Amino acid sequence: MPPNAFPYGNLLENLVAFGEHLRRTTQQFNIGPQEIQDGLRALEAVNLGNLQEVRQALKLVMCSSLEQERVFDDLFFQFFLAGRQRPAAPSHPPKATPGGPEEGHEQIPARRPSSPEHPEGSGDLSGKGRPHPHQDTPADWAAPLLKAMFSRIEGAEAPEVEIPQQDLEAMLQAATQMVNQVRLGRSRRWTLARKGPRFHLRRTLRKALHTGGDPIYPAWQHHPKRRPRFIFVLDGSRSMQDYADRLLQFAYALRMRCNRVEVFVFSTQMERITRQLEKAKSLSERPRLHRLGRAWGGGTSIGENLLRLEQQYGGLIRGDSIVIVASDGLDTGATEILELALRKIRQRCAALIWLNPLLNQKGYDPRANCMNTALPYLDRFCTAEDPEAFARLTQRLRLRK
Amino acid sequence: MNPAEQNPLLQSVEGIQAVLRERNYIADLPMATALRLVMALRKPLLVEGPAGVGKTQVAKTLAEVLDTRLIRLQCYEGLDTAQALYEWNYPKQMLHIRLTENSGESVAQREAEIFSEAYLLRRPLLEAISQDKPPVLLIDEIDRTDEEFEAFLLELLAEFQVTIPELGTLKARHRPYVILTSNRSRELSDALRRRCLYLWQNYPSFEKEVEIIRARLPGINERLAQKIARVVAHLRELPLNKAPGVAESLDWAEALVSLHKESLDMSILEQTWGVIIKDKDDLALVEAHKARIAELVV
Repeated sequence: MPPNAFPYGNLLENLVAFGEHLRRTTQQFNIGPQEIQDGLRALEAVNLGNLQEVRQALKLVMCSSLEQERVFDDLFFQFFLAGRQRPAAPSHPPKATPGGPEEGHEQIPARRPSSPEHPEGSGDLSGKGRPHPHQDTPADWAAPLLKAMFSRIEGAEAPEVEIPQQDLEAMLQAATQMVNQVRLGRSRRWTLARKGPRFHLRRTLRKALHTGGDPIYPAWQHHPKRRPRFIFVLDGSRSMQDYADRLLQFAYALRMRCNRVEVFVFSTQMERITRQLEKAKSLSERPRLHRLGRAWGGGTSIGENLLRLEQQYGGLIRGDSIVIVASDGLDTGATEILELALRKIRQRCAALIWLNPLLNQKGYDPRANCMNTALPYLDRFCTAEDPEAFARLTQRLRLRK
Repeated sequence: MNPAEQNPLLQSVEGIQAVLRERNYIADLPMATALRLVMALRKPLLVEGPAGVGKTQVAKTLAEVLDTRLIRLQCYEGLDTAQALYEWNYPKQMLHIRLTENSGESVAQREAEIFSEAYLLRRPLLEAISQDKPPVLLIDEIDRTDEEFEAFLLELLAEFQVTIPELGTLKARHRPYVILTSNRSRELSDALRRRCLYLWQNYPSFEKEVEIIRARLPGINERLAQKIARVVAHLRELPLNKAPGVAESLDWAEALVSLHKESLDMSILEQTWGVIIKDKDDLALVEAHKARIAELVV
């Protein structure tokens, strides 16, 4: 770790501030006291003089998903090495070169100009003997925060979208009806049941104790019913603005009525908004969505975003998932990517539904655009504008798994 | 005594890399750091990544390095506590009930007897926390289980203890080194993730793959190893349904060595596609990219 890399007075303060930085910058990280404690212990176990080891150790402790791993390095360098060039992290152990830097150690220039009180390199790795941030110039210590605020994560425009409340009650009923009419068959698990095809031996034996070892009162097990999951993918691009409110309201209602729902919106980029919807759920009046960035109100990249859904969030699409894509299909992108994405999503899910609001328009021909590519992969192609139509989405839907 | 503390080489990341290399496992810095923290923090490690990148192998190698037992729990849909943790020996219990029918013991006494450790069948998780020497516990493909089982694992992974209603809470004699693997076929819960260190293991770089092939097959010539790694790296860039992993690279290299092939050309490739491409659509796609692959093997 380069000298003066820690902005605060001691290791604990540095870690707490870094945890706060992670939480505030992306809202993806859930850093609590346990993570800070583990971070401290992790730093004791690695070489504090090696930036890569420190970064890797904190990453292992503070990240819990691939999405977090992807943004972690940027946030780490923003915080600890603000204003300096990020060193290139080799994808494999670098080969030692004669006379070159020690393997795995990154050579980082000092952070601040040396001063008589704090000569360059005088601060040790735990931050002892270093000035407190508040004693330094504000601009210097604000740098990591300012950089984070203007990073590519936070820098995008952040439109605020309100979920309409009109007819919400009807939409909630429609969501309940839609969820209830999905029939997925039974799970492979065994659970205790009043009647079933198999004995629950432990309970049967226990009851048999009272009847001299004879299982007069048998207990049973059965396979419970599988509950469906829903992946709702909403096209939030400009061309969908007339319909997006209604669709978003339906997504919100679905999330309120079923906790196995994931919601994504996309325009040129995609955002997972499930957690935002959950938070909005707790607000009784005027629920809103924030920080949608380039996932709302811009152009359309259907194929790229669906492929990203499959690659990045493929774990959410399972044999019990019903994927609902709500889009007008107006995309000028390569149809090959859309085809690949739909083929892969279809392989994973139980049913793929495409809601196209243009289908109601007179003279609309779905063969005229990328819908032509999508049609062979869909289990249902329809439109829905009112709660009754949303409720019918899964009616007599044939599931493939 | 903790086996990790006995070996001074395991006290540093570089040392761990060297020890693993001796056992032909090429660990990059993230993996070596992860193993260092597994040993230092004694927290479970969740390794996610595509199939065939060596996630399971790392647990096997760690057990070898620590000279301890590897206990493996292979997960699947429908896995429950009876198969993963413990089961009562019902025939033995039934026999005991019959034999003690006229013994004059009360129901409570007889119940206490048949629900004691003598009637307990230990499954992998219970086995792992009952060892005298901390074993490596591999919970493989955790994403295949149901959420219910995942929730059940939380107590074990956080406290290293399990609660059996009839016996009470059993604490681990020694904390096992736990490695969980997932192919991300489904999203794991935040609660499970928070209890683990997290590592994403991707396909190796070209140089690392050559190194792996040469480490696992010392007899192979470098040029052939490079060609294999180059072709496999190219195949991974194609939109295949099942991209070849390191396991496939090694199988392919082994197949070529067994066939006494010192070099690679298109005719050999066509004969041995089946070792790395395992899907009909993928074969058709690879056929369409034959010209580019031919350039790579020249």
